[in-house]
Amino acid sequence: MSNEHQILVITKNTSGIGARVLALFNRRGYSVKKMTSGVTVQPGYARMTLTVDADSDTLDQIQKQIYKIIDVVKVKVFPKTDVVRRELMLIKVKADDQTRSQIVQIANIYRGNVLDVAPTSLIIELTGDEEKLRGFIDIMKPYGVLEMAKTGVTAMSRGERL
Amino acid sequence: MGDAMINGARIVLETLHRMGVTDFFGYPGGAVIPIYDEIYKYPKLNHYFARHEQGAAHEADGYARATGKCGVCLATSGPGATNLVTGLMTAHMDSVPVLAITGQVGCALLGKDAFQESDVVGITMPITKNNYLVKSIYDLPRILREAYYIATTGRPGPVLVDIPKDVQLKEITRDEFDKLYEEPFALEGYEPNYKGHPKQIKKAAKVLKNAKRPLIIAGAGVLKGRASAELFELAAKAQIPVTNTLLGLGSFPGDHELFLGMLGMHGTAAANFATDEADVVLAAGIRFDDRIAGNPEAFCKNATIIHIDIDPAEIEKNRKVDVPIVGDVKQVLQALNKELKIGEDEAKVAAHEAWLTQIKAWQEQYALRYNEQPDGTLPPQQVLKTLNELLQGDAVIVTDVGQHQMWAAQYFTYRKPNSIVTSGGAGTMGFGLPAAIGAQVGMPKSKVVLVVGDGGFQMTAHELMLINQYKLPVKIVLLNNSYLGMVRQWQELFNDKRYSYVDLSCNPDFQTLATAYGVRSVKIEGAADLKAKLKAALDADDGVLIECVVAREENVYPMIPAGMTVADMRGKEGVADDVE
Repeated sequence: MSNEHQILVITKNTSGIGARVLALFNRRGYSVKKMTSGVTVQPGYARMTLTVDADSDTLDQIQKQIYKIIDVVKVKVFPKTDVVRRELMLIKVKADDQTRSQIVQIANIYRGNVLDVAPTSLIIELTGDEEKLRGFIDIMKPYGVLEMAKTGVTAMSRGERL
Repeated sequence: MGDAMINGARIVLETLHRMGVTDFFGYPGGAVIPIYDEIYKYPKLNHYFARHEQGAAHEADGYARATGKCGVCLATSGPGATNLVTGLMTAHMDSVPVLAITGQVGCALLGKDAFQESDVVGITMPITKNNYLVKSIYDLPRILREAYYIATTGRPGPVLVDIPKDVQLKEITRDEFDKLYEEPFALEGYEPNYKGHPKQIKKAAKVLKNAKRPLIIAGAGVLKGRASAELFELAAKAQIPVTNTLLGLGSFPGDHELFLGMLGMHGTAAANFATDEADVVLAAGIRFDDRIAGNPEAFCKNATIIHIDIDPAEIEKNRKVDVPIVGDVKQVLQALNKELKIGEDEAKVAAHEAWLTQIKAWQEQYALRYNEQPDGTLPPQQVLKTLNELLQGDAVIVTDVGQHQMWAAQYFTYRKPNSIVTSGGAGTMGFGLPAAIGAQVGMPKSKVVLVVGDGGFQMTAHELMLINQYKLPVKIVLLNNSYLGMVRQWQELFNDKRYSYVDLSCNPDFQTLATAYGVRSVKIEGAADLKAKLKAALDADDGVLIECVVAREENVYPMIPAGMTVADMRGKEGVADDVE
């Protein structure tokens, strides 16, 4: 089983808070694989979702250590189930007159959006969980992937509670 | 600036004053001139002029450790602030409340690599409990109060406030300031858990009641939580032996029959054997540091461990435990004592005579001793033993870091809380002298005795000037073996005596050095007049440097080599084992 977990961190939106959180991970030797960060519905707060590789003991320590940062208001490890996880990807694929329509068709199957059409390339936007994105990348590989940008996972628990 | 107005610099001092600060340590510089300019108006705020910012930081730290109050230090931007770094790290490692105030270049110059600009908030992020860059004077009163509050509550620690020069110079009206000062602040993510969970306390009580071989390991948390009385109540009435971590010394009377001395790498054999054989360990305010636990898996291997700590992150950071209790040690011990009916009906809890007999046997068999030197030079242990006889536990002992520190931990009787000031977690050489100065400033009526080696002394020797300038009666006992003794000991034991760069035969003449700073000094070279000379120096009203020329190659024993277990302990009686 994968040891990957998403940790939700809600902080006061003070200057340098991102640096504080990441520096702590670095210093304590925890590896952050992905991180998303942005605002929340309440002004003055920031919400980060960190994807980490950790066993349960380490995970427990990570949570407690992060919570020691004064401006951190809430820390939570998302459970494996009952959570919506999404990642946004932009992918630039080689495309010419021969391949363009094929690629667009595949993108449609994946519910991707074509954002840019150039004579020799396409940019496709795709949202989904990791597996879906990986699947799409694999299919695009034969056409030639020129560039790829992923946002990292952001997540939310199902139901009313945080 | 008329009376109706107040500038940022003055707000700093006014706020410190209102929060009850009476002493602080600092070093002027371009970016703090406005603050220094306001000092004239605060005769009740005593500023002590360090000779290096590192000195100021350690002085604030020593002040805080000796008094239990918050230490305050002040430095300018750039190099002034970075010179505080070692001091802040030292305070952070040992959870000491220190408020550091630094000047910064004006807001308009921030990020431009201006003269004496340095990202001090970035630099000190991992070595402070929290830190702030104040970008508006309207935030200044709140931030200072928040900083002080954070430094002194929960698990204490250093907090740094970086104040750009233009913020120091900006003026607001007094009414505005008063309003800002009174405004309550909210720290949403900061709520130190003070009360232990009742269920866990019940569980702990049950475990203790059934213990056949109970042991208390008391650490710095007991001192910081002012829980010595509760600890004493529990240990004395329930007849539970107590051992201390280095930083926990003084939390339990060192002359009590239940006291085993320090545990860990250089702890007493009795203390270490007790950890090994105990069936229940109450770990109060300790963090299972590697110098205590050695191999954490094998530490207290037969024991059910109850761990009390105010910092939830300390639970199972270094060692798995059975009954964790997050909370203030004082409140938890009070609740635990109540649960155990301590003071009413503790006979059952106290029924473990066989264990006490065993411990007594260890104490007798492995009582610390030291060897006379064949060439008649003074054994360092003898100096400390004699000092201890003279002081009778009625002093604040300050140490630097190294062999002398471990001997000071072993040979002095610490009878009262906060009677030892030492850099434990960080092991900062150069800490001793400034920390002793800070301790003496904070405890003017106490006898402050610094024990320091010739290596560490030279790292901050410039602070001697303060002994003279402020007429501080600190007694500096310099154990001069012309070696970096602890490193040499490791090289002797683990590197086949390759004494790479530890020989300090090329030392300054410490007598002349003291004279240069106008500090009186004496030199003791043999055992003959040791006691008389020490007594004369201790009884004097002024600060004295007492240089003791001691045996060069003494080793600190007992010793459990790093990462190993009680079974690997060498020199159980304080002297090297006979080599076959």
